[in-house]
Amino acid sequence: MSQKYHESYEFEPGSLLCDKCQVKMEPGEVILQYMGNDFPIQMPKCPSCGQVFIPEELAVGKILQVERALEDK
Amino acid sequence: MHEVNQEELRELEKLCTQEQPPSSTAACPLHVDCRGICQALAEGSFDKARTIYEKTVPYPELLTKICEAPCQGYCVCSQEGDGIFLRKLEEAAFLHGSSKGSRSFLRKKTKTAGIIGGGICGLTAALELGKKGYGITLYERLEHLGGNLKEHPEFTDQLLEQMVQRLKGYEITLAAGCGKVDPEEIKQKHDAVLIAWGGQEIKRADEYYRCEDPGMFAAGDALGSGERTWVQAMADGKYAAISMDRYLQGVSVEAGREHEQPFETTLCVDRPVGTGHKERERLEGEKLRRLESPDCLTVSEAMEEAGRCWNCQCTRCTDACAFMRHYKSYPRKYLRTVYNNLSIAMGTRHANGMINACSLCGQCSNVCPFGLDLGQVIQKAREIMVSKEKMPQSAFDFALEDMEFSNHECYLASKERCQYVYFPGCQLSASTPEIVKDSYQDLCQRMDGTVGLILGCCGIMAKWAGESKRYEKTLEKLRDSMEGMGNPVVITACPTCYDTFTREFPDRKVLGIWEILERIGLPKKVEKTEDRVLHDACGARLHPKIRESIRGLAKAAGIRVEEQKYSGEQTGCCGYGGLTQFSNPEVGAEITCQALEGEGSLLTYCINCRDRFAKAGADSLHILEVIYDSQPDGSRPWPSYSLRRKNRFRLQEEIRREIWKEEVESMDETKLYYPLELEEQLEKRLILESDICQVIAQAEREQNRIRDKDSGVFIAHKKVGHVTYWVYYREREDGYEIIKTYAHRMQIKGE
Repeated sequence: MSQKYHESYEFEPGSLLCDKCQVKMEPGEVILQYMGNDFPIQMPKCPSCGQVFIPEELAVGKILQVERALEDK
Repeated sequence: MHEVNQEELRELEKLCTQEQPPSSTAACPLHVDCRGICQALAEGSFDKARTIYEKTVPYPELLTKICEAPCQGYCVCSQEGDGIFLRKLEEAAFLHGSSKGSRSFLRKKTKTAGIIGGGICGLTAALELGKKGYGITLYERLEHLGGNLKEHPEFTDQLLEQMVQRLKGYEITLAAGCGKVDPEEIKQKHDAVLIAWGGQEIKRADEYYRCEDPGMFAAGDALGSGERTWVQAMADGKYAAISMDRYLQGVSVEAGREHEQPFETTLCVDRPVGTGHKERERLEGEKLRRLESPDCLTVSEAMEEAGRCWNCQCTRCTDACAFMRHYKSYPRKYLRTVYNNLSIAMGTRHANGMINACSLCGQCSNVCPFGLDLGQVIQKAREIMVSKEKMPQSAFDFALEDMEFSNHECYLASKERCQYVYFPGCQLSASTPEIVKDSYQDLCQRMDGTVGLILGCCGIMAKWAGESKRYEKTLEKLRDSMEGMGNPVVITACPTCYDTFTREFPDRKVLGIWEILERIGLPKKVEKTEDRVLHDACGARLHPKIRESIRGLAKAAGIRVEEQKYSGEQTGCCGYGGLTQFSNPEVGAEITCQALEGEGSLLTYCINCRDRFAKAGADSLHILEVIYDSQPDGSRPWPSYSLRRKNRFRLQEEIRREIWKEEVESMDETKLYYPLELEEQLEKRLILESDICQVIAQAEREQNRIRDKDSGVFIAHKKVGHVTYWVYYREREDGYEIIKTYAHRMQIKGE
């Protein structure tokens, strides 16, 4: 499943700042896990501390869909 | 418990009779699909109706003329007027419809059969065996075929010719005029012989038309069993052919033939309601004359007559329950679906959603003519899913957390010994904490004996979620608390708690606050003069005494009670039962809508019913609001999930501080500001203010947050329990402004 699952988030570089490190968030690999499955995706990430951002459309869209599908397996 | 027993499943399936034939079909010796024919004709599909008829009837051209139509007397319409004139409809279908005339591929068989007698029974057997590919010889003593048929006024040479034409389509030799033959001799020439020579010499055969001599069969008047109808004689020929075919193939002659003879159906049919069904009075005048005349009906006459058909179905449970209708099927099929879903080893369990949407209220067992309780099966299925770790986590997580909140953070139990213990129920505390406080104080003052208190959940939420172990643990906790109080008499204010306590603690005395109030009187004079529709709680289904008390209290308070269609033991769920509102809000809303049964102000005695109705926009009052509230407000809105938690927490704080005079440290409450639309979204997404506060608290503490440069909004997230919550917020002097919030269950690796 992880092979087929690619998501990324378009955002204006520099619009999101990691408040802890005071650096700009950059696209980076984030791995989401559910019920023993890994889903690597490209999301805004702090290059310094690794803090990540998951947007609403992804959380209530594709992520929810995949969660439900896995729960019924 | 890990499996559903197949045998048990079959026994349960038998209780649902929706797949049983209508009474008219069951009474027909050939079991013609009367309902199918009527439905096809009513919509003008004469071809379809003819096809349905020809599928069952070997000689349709003959039977439409001579059938005695026992179906008409058994047709359910005859209960309230005239039964459908089915023979006339069949005749019209045959005349106005056209036949597809398709023939299936015929595999010729080497074995042959002899049929003795060219009457209706022998002709039918010959045709049926011919269709199966056997070489058939039909021996008729006389020159003419037809036997007794010749005495029937409708039987003509033309009809006989049509029938013979049918026979010619197969390998059938007509040996007419062969004189009297000896079956034993004929038997030498064939592999099987059927004696269908009318009443000239009586033969003995068993119920499958078998004579003692293997390969010898007898049917029709040759069996001499009293007066027979034409349609029965045709059926005898058809079924004797089935026996002969099975005998010739060397397979079981008996298997699966239970309902061959006319029988009484178990299908329970009610007169359909609603539009589109004309009044079913006795037919009169010209209409009746046409139906009774020998002339064939016109197309429009046939369509009108077919339109009187009730379309026999058993819809007792699907009429009563929105859940049953939502998945567009009926219990027999649901049972199979549940069973199959539990049996899946690999692959998607498509029925999880359905299983988790039932309100487990028991209404179906009370409306079903045979008492089938689908809820009980679904309850068991949920328990199996939990034990096999196949229960979707998202289904009941929120509800179970809510129960934990009631039974940990907010759990309160008196430590002193007492004669009574008041157990108002978790959701009454969540919705109207003031009523709980007032009623508790009232009981303390007016009861003859000391009254203790337990604030918590009875465990039903765990039971509904299929979490048997958690349910047992909750019961244990309650048992311990009650033992600590010297096992007092339990007084509940929730019908579901009452049901749980009486079932799980059969050795304890359990009372409802309603019966106490009935006995000791209302605490103050209540003079309402209004009409309210009373919705019975599903928790009171098995407890008629509760229902009686409520009606008594309502009367004492001046409320004139109107009964619902589904009331008493047939009452429907409000949408809370079985945790449907959490696992499937859409079905939950449909169930609520059904329970409301239209417009009107409602009176309830389960707080969940009151709140569900309030959520649906109805004016609804709980009986204890009527009794204890100084100004009961039927329009009080549905308390949000966050408010329900706050109410419970504050209630236990207040009781400890004000009534038990304990020292209690008040919790700091962070102030959150958000618009109404966001409040609705929180409800829909099952996000609590306390979750938001936890996210912000961590973000503020560790500066672990993102800042959107343009708007200055902070974005923070935190995993609470199984869920990761995201919050967009701005800081305010006295709290936080919440802009957006959402959640997911997937975990972020490394966090």
